[in-house]
Amino acid sequence: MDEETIFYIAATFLVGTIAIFGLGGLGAFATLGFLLVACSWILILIINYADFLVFPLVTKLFKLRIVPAKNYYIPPAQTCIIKNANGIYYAQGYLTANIYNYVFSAERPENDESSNKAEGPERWERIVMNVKFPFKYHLISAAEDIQQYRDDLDARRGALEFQMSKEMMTGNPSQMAIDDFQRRINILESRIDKLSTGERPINTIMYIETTAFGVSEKAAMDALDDQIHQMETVFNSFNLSIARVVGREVYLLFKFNYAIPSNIEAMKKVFHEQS
Amino acid sequence: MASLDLRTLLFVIFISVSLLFMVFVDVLPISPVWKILLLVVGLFFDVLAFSVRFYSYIMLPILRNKKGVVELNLDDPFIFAPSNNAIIIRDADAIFASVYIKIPIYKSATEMLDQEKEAFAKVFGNLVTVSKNPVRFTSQFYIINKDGYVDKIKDKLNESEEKFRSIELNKDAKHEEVDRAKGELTMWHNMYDNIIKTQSYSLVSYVVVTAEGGTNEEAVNLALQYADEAVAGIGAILGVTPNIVSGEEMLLFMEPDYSIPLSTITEQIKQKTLSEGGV
Repeated sequence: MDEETIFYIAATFLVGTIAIFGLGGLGAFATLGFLLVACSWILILIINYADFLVFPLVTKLFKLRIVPAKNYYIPPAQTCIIKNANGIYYAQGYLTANIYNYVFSAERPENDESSNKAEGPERWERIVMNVKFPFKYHLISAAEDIQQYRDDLDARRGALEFQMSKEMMTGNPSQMAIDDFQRRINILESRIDKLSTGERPINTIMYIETTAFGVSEKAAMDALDDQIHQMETVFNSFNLSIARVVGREVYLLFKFNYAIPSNIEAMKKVFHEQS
Repeated sequence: MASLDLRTLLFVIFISVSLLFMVFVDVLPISPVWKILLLVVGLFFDVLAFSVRFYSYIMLPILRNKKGVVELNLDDPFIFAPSNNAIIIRDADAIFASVYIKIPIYKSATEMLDQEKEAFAKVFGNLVTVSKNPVRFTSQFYIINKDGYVDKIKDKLNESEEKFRSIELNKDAKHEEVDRAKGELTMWHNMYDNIIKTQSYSLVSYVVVTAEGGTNEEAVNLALQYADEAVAGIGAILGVTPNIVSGEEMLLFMEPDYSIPLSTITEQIKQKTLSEGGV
């Protein structure tokens, strides 16, 4: 959890806590009050971790249509962005394409990493051959400062080694804890080794965009749904976690069509980093 | 910066209102029912205060919405720079400029040996680290606009039809001439039918860089500077000559109606209507 998240959660939870102090002595109403405060905390956590569930509910409930630019609008379902041009509705939808976390958490490089790299271009061309509609594969990347990244990894490794040695020096060291510390140290050392071989750390945002059309909004959105399902199937051959983008991030990705984050700090703020 | 200020301002307002209601709940000597009502209002503003983190950009437009339409921006999403090799985007008070760089890659994986494929994947790995500033690499698969080409085929078809008719009407024409004219007409007919019924696709790779500036000119100049650096880096890594895209060619990379030609849409709608038994 980053500092900004901690601040927002702490501030809003504190307000609820203040309310609880005033509920004492209200009898049955106190229970109702505690329940309401608990519900607000749960709602805040849902908004923080899964706002793609909440925002579309609100827009569908109030039938809100968002206009991000001339000739474009985001329908209440928040699943796509639609352009109306020449009497035709063009629906653009997005899929995130994230590398599975286990790749970054590997303790040792895969034995068949070379063959995976060799298969990559062919797998990509096979996808292109099997898709019969327009799509775009986007990768926004920014290289990190190697020295800073290396220093950060060294610091984290040092902290873990210190914790592990503390655990070992206790009267009854937990083997499970020691194994866990060792595993995490191995992961960090694997990343340091990768830096030594010349690989550079990068921040990335990967996503796929596809466009469907129709004579009506519904026709375009239905065609887009079909295309999205097909994209999910064909991109399964890559080692990626594919998920449809819903909610406020549709607007963010629409903006990326014209202007990407202009510096690495802005890029990090937009989405969570892939660790 | 402006959006950050708006976010901070909205957060402060909502959390203050929420705190005020919570203090009322704690302090005011009112009935429990009223305390619960005040609590509900206070918690509502508390949740709103948290929502500001993600939704500050939309809160005021939602309050101003007309019949459910929330207007964030009614202008075009971009304008072309005077130099025609960049686009300018305004986001609140910030000015951005983006430049598109086409990467000419013509080799297919089917032409590569395994070692070459692995080397290409490694080269791609170096490519994504070409800049400390964010760079977007895109591979775009789109339907080729064949309208110009189809018109040329149609002209040829019309010419050969005229030729065939005039030869047919000529009583002195030899049998071989008639056959040749008929064969030519059939050839153009088949070619025309084939081209309008099948879609042709193309895959293009390009890079986008964006820079922020205080004025349009500053943003464009900085974006072109980043673009030059990216062109040099990409050229050195891939051994190709990338080029900065200008003019209407950029629209293919941005606007959805340019990735699917109108003639293709018309043809598909016509076929769909016929298959559904429409008029």
